[in-house]
Amino acid sequence: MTTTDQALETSAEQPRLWGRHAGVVVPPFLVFVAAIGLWELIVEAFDIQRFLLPRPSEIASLFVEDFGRLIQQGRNTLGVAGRGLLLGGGIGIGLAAITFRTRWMAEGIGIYAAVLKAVPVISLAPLTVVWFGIEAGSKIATVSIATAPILFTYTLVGLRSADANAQELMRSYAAGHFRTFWNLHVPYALPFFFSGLKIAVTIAMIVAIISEYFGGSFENLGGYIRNEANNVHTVEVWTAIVMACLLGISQYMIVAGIDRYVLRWHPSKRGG
Amino acid sequence: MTTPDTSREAAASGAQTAIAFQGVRKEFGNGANATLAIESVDLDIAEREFVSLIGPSGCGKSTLLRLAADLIEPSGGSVLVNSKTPRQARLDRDYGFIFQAPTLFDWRTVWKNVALPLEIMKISGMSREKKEEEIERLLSMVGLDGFESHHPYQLSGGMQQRVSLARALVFRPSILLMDEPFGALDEITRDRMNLELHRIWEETNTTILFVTHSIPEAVLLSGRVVVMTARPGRVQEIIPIDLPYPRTTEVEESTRYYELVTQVRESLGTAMAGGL
Repeated sequence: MTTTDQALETSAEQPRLWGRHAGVVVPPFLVFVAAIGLWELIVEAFDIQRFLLPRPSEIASLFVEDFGRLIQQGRNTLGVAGRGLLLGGGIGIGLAAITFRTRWMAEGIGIYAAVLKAVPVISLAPLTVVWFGIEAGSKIATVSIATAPILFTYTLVGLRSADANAQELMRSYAAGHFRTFWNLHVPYALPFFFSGLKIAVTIAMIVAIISEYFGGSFENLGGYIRNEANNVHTVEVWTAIVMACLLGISQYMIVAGIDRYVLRWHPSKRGG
Repeated sequence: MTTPDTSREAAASGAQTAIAFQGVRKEFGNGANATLAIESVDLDIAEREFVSLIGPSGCGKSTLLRLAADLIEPSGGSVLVNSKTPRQARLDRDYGFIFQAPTLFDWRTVWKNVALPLEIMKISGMSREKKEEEIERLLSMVGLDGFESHHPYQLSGGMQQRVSLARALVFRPSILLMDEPFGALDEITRDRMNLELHRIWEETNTTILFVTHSIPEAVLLSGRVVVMTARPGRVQEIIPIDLPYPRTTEVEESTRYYELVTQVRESLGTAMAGGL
């Protein structure tokens, strides 16, 4: 089996490997180019006003021009999203780790996690402003409230998925609770944790930007969008949206990459 | 011709008791939904003995094994393992348990799977080099040289079960509790594993309590075969297997072997009829 795995990596197989990736990369790229081209043509043909829908080329050139500022604003937004995710994730994972062995506790918290996931958390944003002030604190809090239940639920399911025989095996070794948790439950939880994390990073970014719409500094993507939109600077708004998209996609890809590396033993990642 | 190993027989009859079941009863569930899995089981297994439990499915063979392992507790009677409570025996790491599924940790290499019990138990007086030597020795004993850095998914079912065997032997438990360990393997692999297990048993000083539903397997491996009745499980008959050691392919082809297989089969037939 390994010999075939190794064979895939040898130079003889390189063209096929590239070919397989090309098949995944090229079609979406062509669609992207076509869509942008069509957009440009439509704006041109129907003479659409720039404050309604600017041309992609115009957005692109302003994006390049403002790149320094956009990246700084993006960094501030990412900081809020990241700190909120860290706090929310810490709470969610911690609660899952504490309660997963005790059914009634996990269930008791699980109900509220489910409710929180169903509630549009962003509607709490004005309240968090009242509690934590108009600046970063309230935004971090909102991101935490949005991400904690996601990571709680996924981690809990993962911790509970540990094979029954494997648990008995650890018991037969008279392994302590911490040992069993670390050597058995954590590896079982990881695939679920990463699935949750991939959702949570995206949600964190969305909630951070929308929280920034509710006031506070302009030196972040949400604040900038709010300000420029009020002045009908549509092109500026678009550049911030592009930056938000790029940051969102890259952090998702970073998490997916770590996931694939850490879980290379897992059936879903081994590939063929 | 080989003659029966007399010292082994002596060990089986006279020596210390490794596992003792006395009037053991086990009920699952409670109230109206309770099912009686086993009832008044008396069975003594001597040190270094190889005993198989065989019986219709649901007769409580695995239940007995799990009682000895302190994975469950009896509803009545007593179980002693090395003259201790099963719980104490478990805490003292007196036994190794082998499941029907290899139960390997997918994220660990073969080597690290075998090393797991040593990591957990922190056995004193065993240096790092000594541990590594031991792992290496066991992997070669189960025929897995060169597979140390493979992951379980890269191995066949038979190889995975051999890793699980090496993992159970690495901390040198005096007792092996095996719950249909080769039940999921194909006939050819199973045959080979049986002979290997028997060789390993002869090389080490372990007591083996072996649950199976294969009659030929039970006869080939055991010093005694315990036939159990259908639910609630009781001991129907204990059949001593007077085949010569070492148990090899020739033994498997002897007339006595076939006689014993027939004897176990007939006893099992009675046991099942009794249950119906």
